[in-house]
Amino acid sequence: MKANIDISTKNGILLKNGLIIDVTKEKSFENDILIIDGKIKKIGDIQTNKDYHIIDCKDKIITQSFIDIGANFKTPGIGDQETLKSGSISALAGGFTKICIVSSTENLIDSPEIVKSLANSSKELPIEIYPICSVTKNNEGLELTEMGLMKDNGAVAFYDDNSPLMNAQVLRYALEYSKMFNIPVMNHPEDLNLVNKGLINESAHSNSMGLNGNPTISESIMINRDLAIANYVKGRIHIPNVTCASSIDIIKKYKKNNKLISCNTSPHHLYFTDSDLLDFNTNLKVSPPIRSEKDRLKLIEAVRSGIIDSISSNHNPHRIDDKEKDFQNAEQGIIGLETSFSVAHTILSSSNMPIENIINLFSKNPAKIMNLKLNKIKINENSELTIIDPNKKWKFTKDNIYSKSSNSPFLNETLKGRIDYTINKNILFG
Amino acid sequence: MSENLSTKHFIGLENATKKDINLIIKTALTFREILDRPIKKVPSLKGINIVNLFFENSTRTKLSFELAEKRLSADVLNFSASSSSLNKGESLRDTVQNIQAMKIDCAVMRHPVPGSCKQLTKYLDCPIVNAGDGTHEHPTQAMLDITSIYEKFNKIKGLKVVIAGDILHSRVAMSNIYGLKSLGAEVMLCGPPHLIPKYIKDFDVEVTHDIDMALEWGDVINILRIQRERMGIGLVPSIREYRKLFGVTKERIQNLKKEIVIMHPGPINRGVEIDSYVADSDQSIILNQVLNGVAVRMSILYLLLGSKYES
Repeated sequence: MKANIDISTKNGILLKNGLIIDVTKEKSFENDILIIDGKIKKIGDIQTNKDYHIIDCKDKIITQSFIDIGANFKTPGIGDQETLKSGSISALAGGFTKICIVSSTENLIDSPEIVKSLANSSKELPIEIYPICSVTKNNEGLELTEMGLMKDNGAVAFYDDNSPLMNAQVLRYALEYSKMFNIPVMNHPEDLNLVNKGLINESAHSNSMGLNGNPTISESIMINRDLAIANYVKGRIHIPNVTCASSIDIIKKYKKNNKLISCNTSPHHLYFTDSDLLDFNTNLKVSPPIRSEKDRLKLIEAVRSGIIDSISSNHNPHRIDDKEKDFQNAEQGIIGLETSFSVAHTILSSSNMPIENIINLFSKNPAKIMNLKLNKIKINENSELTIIDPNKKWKFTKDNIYSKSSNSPFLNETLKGRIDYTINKNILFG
Repeated sequence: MSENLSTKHFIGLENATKKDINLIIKTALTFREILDRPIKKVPSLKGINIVNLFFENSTRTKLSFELAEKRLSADVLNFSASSSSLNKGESLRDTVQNIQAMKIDCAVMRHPVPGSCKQLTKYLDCPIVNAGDGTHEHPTQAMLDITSIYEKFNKIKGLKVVIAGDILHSRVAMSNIYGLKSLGAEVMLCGPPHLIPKYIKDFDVEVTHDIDMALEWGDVINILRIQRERMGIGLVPSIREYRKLFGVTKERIQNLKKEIVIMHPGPINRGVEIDSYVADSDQSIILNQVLNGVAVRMSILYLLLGSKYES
């Protein structure tokens, strides 16, 4: 059954007996929470009242709502794949109330005017939108954008989504210039010459499938280059979508003495391996590609040890007919907000990562990377809360999709841990 | 003949069983005898509609399939799309819907994109035969190569087969490797290092970059065409350099102290990867390959479709 937005809860929402994990305090305790008018009014042993909307949170976790730092809402755009509205509902379904949306070649956010208009059209949304604006005009990798003016209007980072800055000097300029604004520059970690039109990870599988292989060195060499430049100019850099073992070693080396470096991976890279592509499933065509089992295991280890700071959905909706093409012509990218936490939790909890640390990957750490404020779970703070059933095993189906698109490789997968409710001020979703 | 292949489609040799491969060879050699008769037509597939879907230019494979279908008395439809319309990326679903609307019994497909035949099987009920899908597989070519080797040696097991040329961009090489290995042959690949896939050793093959050494080693050499479109983008610096390093030249064959069977899937670049002297020599079975191509395609179509409709 589809969940709904409920705003008829002004008389109060009472969360009973949940395990409260406040990531800003690094402590957890079992208690009730009463929310009235979008604010936390009481924490403690609270008497039920027939006016309250009561949610039984026994054996469930109440924590700060999540932040995604790399979703594509196809905005500005014509809205056939996603809109701000549909993307927002998709976010709520995944436990998110803050989404950083990226600027892709077909949906550019590369001028202060666009940033301003985006802010205007986001006003009525049930979540908050934060734009990650282009580093270069038209994502062409040539001329820097008006970073300062875009920052004034709400830019939280700079990134030419999926278009690597192949000219190292442009990245150097961007990292130096953006130091004035203290927000991170991101760069898609792929050297396009080494990608060499590769469609999947280069391995015996790419060989037997006859598809051009994209080698791990296309990523690790780019990351090495980018971190060397960032280190040299003392710029703030965030590396999105790390996928391979060799990249981890490089990031680890640079992070040792440099606090201005952060990185993320995606849930699907923790879950799938390139052998899952053997039937040419275009829903696993992503960039960078799904890697080998060896890479996957190293990624899990890097998440556990903190080398990887956060997990981002890489939500990228496409129309079904753009995905049903042959492997070469099918669009790359998948939707991910609905499944992001559950997929990561499925993998990481089975690797014995404590739930508090898994949650940090979705709230505390991305907040730090993007300079976003997380509300505390205390009286008079705005209520931005996500309620998780950590032990629930559930099958992800089309019914669970709220995005306008359904290009997910997780359809019919059984996941562990489910988002039951997301609360943003006086909005209750679930 | 009432046996069938164990699979509904014929997409590749990667997962083909040894039994199926042997059955195709045996049946092909039976059809081969028919092709030597004055009247070369049999009624095996009378009343069956086969569509040849060629989304990429092909001369010999298409002719060979068409002839095989006609020799079996099937009704043949031909469909060719220019590669320009394909670049726009027609969805596979559209292709499928067109085929289904035509109510045909079997589709033979050549497509430039790897995996497209396999993807098509998800949507289509009738048997599909892969006539080459990008750099993935070209299983009927491999079967005709293997049948030609079998015809020559009366065995495959224990033979040493060299495949020489641009392995990286070849669909024929991988299909040959699967089929030959499955029947117990040893395979050695010979070509420039950057035109041999990095992970090819996972497929239990030998690799060399020395054509003289490969000729010394092999009982058979299958020489792949060096595609002229690879020249000029830095992959093959020049024709004369390729010929010097990898050409199976008259001198090389004359200096060899033993015989080696010469094969080539065509079209031949005389004077580049192979000299005319070699292509036309007694050691060459290149023209047998062409004839066996028809017999093998008859065999595969018959084994997929024949017994189902036989009374």
